[in-house]
Amino acid sequence: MKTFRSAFVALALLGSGLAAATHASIAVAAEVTVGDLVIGGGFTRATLPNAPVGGGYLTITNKGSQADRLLSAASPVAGVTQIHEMKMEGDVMKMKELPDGIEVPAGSTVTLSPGGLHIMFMQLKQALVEGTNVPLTLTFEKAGVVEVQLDVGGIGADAPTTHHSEHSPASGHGAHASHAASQQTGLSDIDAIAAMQKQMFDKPDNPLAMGAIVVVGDYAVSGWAQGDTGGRALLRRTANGWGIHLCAGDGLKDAAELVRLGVPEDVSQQLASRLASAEASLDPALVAKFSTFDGVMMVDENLL
Amino acid sequence: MSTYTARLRLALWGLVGVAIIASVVLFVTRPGPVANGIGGGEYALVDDRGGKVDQTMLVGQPSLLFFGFTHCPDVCPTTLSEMAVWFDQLGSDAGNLRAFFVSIDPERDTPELMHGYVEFLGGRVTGITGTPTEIDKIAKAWRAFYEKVPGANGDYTMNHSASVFLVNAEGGFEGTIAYQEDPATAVAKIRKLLGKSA
Repeated sequence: MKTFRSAFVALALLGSGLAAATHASIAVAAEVTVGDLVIGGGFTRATLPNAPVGGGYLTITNKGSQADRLLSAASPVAGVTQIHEMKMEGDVMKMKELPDGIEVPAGSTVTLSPGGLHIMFMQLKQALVEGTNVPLTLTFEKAGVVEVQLDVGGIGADAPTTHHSEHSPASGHGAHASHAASQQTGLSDIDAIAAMQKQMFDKPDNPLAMGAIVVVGDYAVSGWAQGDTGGRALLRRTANGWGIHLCAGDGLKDAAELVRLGVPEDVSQQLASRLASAEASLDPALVAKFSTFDGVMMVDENLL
Repeated sequence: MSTYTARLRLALWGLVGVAIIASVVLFVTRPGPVANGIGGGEYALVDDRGGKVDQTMLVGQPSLLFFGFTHCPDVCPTTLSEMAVWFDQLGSDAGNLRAFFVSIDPERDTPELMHGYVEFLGGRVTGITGTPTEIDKIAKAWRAFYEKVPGANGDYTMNHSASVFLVNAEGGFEGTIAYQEDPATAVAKIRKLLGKSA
């Protein structure tokens, strides 16, 4: 049964698409041309809490017949933005600033990537959040100044996220999602969550059964089953009502795993213990279906 | 007794001697608190909750030990997120395995800063900092290299060893996981460590 899962994939893609749409002026991670230079594949990584620095990565292709040079970089997210080189010498990571920037020879491509050349964001003014974008202004010796957007990927991202231009926010599940939000008003938290998930995924020929739903503060965990499969969803309260933060299986029963996913420790423990007692009263065959979901699928609750 | 038998006896006693020396050498160099000159040492540091810790933090359970700093754009967050993946893959098999992220930039890495940084990883990684003198002791004990690289405007960055040390339950060195090692290999190495420490 792929219905629920594929809908989640669509939602996850849509979430990124919406994030892109909020920065409408410049195409996200798309190629930007300035003079003879084409800049593409821009990404950075979500930062750990309190992390004062981040790295920016992109490719610069020089289609012209003269060498150019990346002289400097700047971004509103950082107090200081520098051009750095990192390299491994044996077991030792060495990093240094390149005060003269990076040469981009004629007819060639220079790649800034993890473990090598990179843009160094220092004195970060804000955490870099996965699914958002970071504006970056690059100054070249000949081509001049250009602004690009870096996709913020996961903490360990090695590449930019997929382009989403083919996914229109106005189509398909987008309409469902915003409709679901409007259905939540006037309902209790539990009814609102059940209504939202049913609104999104229930099908006449493939009904969605909701299991236990436990709510602690602005977080909730719900069980669901559809056909032979099922899973658990971690939900968060947003300005527009409850939204699905991510979908997983047994992990969401575990307080430590909830903490790892970013839920505060006391909330995690309450969620886990309440879920355990709520699920104890359900049909074991139904609860077993909640465990069939493999892995963790991120969804953006703010796409409501 | 023929000359031949006497020679044979001498040769056999010689073999016994070699065996004794070999077993003494094996006993002395077997993995323990200080193997291959790596590990051991004495130091007084603080964890990310402000609690006092010393060399005994590595004793009593197997551990992963990593030297880094929070002003690190690539290797440190990458390695810590890889650690989270290893713990995920090990699941309950991880048992009492602990992980320590020791700052080689203690001037900037306060316990509070370290706490927020490692807390994201679900309490599985403990941040360690302290005075530069005491940090230098643990780094030297583990043969971890680090150096300050001055930049513009008084700013600086750090060069440092990027391997993760595998530490057995006696606090001894068992091996390393290289920067960006294949996750399957890394997990296999940790399983081997857990097997030895069981």
